[in-house]
Amino acid sequence: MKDPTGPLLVTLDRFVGKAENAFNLVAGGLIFGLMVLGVVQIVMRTVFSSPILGYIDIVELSMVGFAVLAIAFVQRVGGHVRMELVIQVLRGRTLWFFEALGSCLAIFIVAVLIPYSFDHFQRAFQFGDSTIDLELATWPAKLVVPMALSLLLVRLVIQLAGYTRLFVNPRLPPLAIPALKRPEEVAAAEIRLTETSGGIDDDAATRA
Amino acid sequence: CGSNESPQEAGKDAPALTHDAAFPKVVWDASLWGNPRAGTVAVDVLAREVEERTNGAWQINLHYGEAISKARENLDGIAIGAFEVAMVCNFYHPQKNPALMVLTMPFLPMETDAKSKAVREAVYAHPAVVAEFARWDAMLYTSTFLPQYEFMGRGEAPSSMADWVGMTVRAGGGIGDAMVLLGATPTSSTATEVYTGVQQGTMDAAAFPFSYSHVAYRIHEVSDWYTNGMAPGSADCPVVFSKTAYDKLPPQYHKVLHDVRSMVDAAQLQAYRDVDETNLPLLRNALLEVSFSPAMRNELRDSVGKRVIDEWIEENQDTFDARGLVELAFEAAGSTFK
Amino acid sequence: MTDPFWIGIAGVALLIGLVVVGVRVYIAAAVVGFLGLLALKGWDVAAAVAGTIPHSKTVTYPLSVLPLFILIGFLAFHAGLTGKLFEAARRWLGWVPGGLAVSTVFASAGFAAVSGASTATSAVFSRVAIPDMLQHGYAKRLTAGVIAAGGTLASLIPPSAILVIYAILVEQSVGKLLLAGLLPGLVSVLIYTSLIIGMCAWRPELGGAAKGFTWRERFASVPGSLPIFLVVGIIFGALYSGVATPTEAGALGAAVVFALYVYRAWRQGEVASMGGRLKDALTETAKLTVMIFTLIWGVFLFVRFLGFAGLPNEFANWVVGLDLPPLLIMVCILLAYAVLGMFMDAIGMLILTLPVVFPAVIALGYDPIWFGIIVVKMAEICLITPPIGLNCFVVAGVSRDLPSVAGTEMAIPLQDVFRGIGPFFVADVLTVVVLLLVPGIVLWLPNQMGQ
Ligand code: NA
Ligand code: NA
Repeated sequence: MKDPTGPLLVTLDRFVGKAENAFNLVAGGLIFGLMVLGVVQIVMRTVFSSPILGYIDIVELSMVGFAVLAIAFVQRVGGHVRMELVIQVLRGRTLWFFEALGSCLAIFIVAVLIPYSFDHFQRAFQFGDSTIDLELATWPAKLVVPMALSLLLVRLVIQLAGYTRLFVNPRLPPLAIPALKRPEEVAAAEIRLTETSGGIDDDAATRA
Repeated sequence: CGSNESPQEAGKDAPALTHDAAFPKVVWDASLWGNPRAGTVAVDVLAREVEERTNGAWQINLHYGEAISKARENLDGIAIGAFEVAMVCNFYHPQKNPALMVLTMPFLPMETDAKSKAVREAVYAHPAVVAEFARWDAMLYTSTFLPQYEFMGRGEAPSSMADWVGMTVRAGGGIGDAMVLLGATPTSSTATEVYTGVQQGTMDAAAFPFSYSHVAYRIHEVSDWYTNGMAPGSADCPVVFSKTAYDKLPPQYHKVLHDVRSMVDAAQLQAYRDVDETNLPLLRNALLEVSFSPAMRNELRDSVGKRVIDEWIEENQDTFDARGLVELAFEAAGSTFK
Repeated sequence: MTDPFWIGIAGVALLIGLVVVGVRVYIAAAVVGFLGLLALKGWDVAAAVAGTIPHSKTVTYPLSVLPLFILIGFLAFHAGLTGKLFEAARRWLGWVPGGLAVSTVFASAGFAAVSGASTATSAVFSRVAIPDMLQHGYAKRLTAGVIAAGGTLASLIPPSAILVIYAILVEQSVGKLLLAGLLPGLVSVLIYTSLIIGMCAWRPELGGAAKGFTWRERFASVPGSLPIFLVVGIIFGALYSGVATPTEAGALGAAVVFALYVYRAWRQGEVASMGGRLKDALTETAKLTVMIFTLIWGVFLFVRFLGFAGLPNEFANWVVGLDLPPLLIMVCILLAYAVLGMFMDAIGMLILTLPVVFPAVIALGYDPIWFGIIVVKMAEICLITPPIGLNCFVVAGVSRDLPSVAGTEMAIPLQDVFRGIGPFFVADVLTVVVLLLVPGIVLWLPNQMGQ
């Protein structure tokens, strides 16, 4: 079977995937930091009665890191919510057509959002904008949005190529697209998450 | 659907003549947050008057509850032309309007309505303020005259200046800085969290526009005392217009805006007085009033107030004429900054 | 009716169409929102407004509690808190008719107090409770039903991600909503329990009592389940007293569970694999967090367009103008949710519908906190109804992989799960009716907050 685009797609998929994984890890780290900061805030306030001034400012500024940074990662693994009632009964070319259509819509809106969210950053950068208490500049947080969306755009283009390739030749093996999640598979993924450890306790008393 | 002609039917981009040729059809959107309240009377009256005086040809649609923009992004909305009117608060984004932050300075001479109006008007006319709003394609129409702040708190009432040392207080901007100089510990909190904060003692007192906001956030229910006459300062939440939209208006509409302003201002100031009329007896009955005499206030003004203002001038003089702004503010109230 | 209104209606219709054909909800909502703004305001304004949304709608302090609640759930599982909880419930409550099923309900409720995710709770208890119940001769249908239904308690009993999202969407106090979920959650527990005891007393072959625990054994099971109560106490105490904001309470809860996890790993000599597990928990948390935040800004782009079109207001006016009894309208709204929930994810359903439905509900005079609990309960019912009842798939899926013990086969086929859910579905409907008739169950606790 001729598959001229397959190998290229796989390479791109892996390359972009590395950046996505890194972004996701940063987001996870920020969440851990949020936990630590919250505990420090409570301790500082209740024990030393000197709360971290600008705690809210710091939380708000860091939020963008876990709110949007990993957006391309989630797109890669097909984690964004959708209704699969119709899509799951489709097969072959029809299925790939609707998937490609969805990708085109996504590419359109993300391509609009990138320059205009960059404008939003630029307004903050040029005219000034800050948080309330510490008067921290907000532009770095605003810049994260077009960055994360740019990676998302690359991911969406790869997925569009993946769907188009299958639309052209539905007999090729699926590459560089998220697995179609039928409800059973979503459930299976949930189950895998709880498999790693701990559900059934190893405490001997439990087995008695 | 009614068969009557609705003023909304024509967008602002397609002005059409009504029965009265003197009043072309205009539709403006106004971005507001929260519910209609005493602090939004100015916009309410403005919308009502404008519509009335143009025989319904000019409509200002009020979008409450952040329906068309987040409050802190209202200037962005004006800059991108998303709407023509917005209320903005200077302390929501100090660096978006660094010069207007002068109105958050502590102990400015704004104790009376007349002085408050005079000072704010003078500041609005200052080139630095005009310029910083022009960057956002915005122009200041009028203030909503946020009342002077007072503190309200739980526990032992501060009977002398020394009692403020070590108190955890929620106070923003220049008032917060002044309290730090008095020895208080500042804490940040969203306005809605102040209630539980005061109640639980994670903060001892909070400053809010008096008496309007204290009662709106129900702080009095969990407090033991409040200050009166301390008047440590205020903030400013003006009604702004899109400059582009304003410039597009026909001259007779400019005149309408000019004519209704004194009425809008009067209604706004009256709204706070009405609120006070209900609130003050309530507070006096339930809480201990810590009164500040003018002499005590002047002492605070000359000690901590002046230091905060001096520091602010020093920090900002390189960017704009901060000293000129402060001097102008004092001058407008008939006093001098020294 | 105005032009913007009809543009709004067209937008809603297009959105439904795109969602139905499987376009991801955030994309469908963002595209339609943008096109709507384009029709109302032209390209420059539409694109510029759209460009502000991803930042301005996600970066709001109250939303920062979400990742922490999600993290608590992942860590609590790794910290091994669930098995001990079930064992304690079994020893204390096993003696009633259907005792193991009742124990499962109580243990699920306990785990719900540290976990904010329904489906994960069902997955956890499938592993813990299925072998025990089937070995003791419990009917497969009852076993499956109680585990799938018990999982839904996680969204009502705080912490709950979905309640936070509701609070943010409709601008209500996050703390109040979380507190409001507790009593309705307990009412659900009571109704489930009465149902099980009644069924098993009437037909003992469904499942008997697990007797024979001494008081010594009962008390011996307490220490193992204490950590859960510690975490619950921390989160609740902090929220109820107001000592901490929800975000801070979430941080503290997560930190305590994290400490328990570290302690367990250290005690079992698993310190080496701890880093990897923590990384997994954090990246999974990040993934779920982004998914929710993306949905929020995507749908808010659509909401902006509705705001400019004035649709929510006009819809509210229309509903109020219908001149029907509010209760009837409420029942219609709930039925609509039941139908929609058959096909949609709970969080997606809420985010998509509330901007239009909520103003109407408020205009009818209903309490916003109360409606939040009702609507979340509806969303949870959707997790156990065919054709897409995620909790049911989970129970069937886990059971298939469980090894058989002493000749007892553990697999429970999906059709048995759905049949087993039947009585619990009726119990849930009953709960909703109770909450409709006695709103005080929802509102009493939040109204006590800080008094
Ligand atoms: Na929960
Ligand atoms: Na369902």
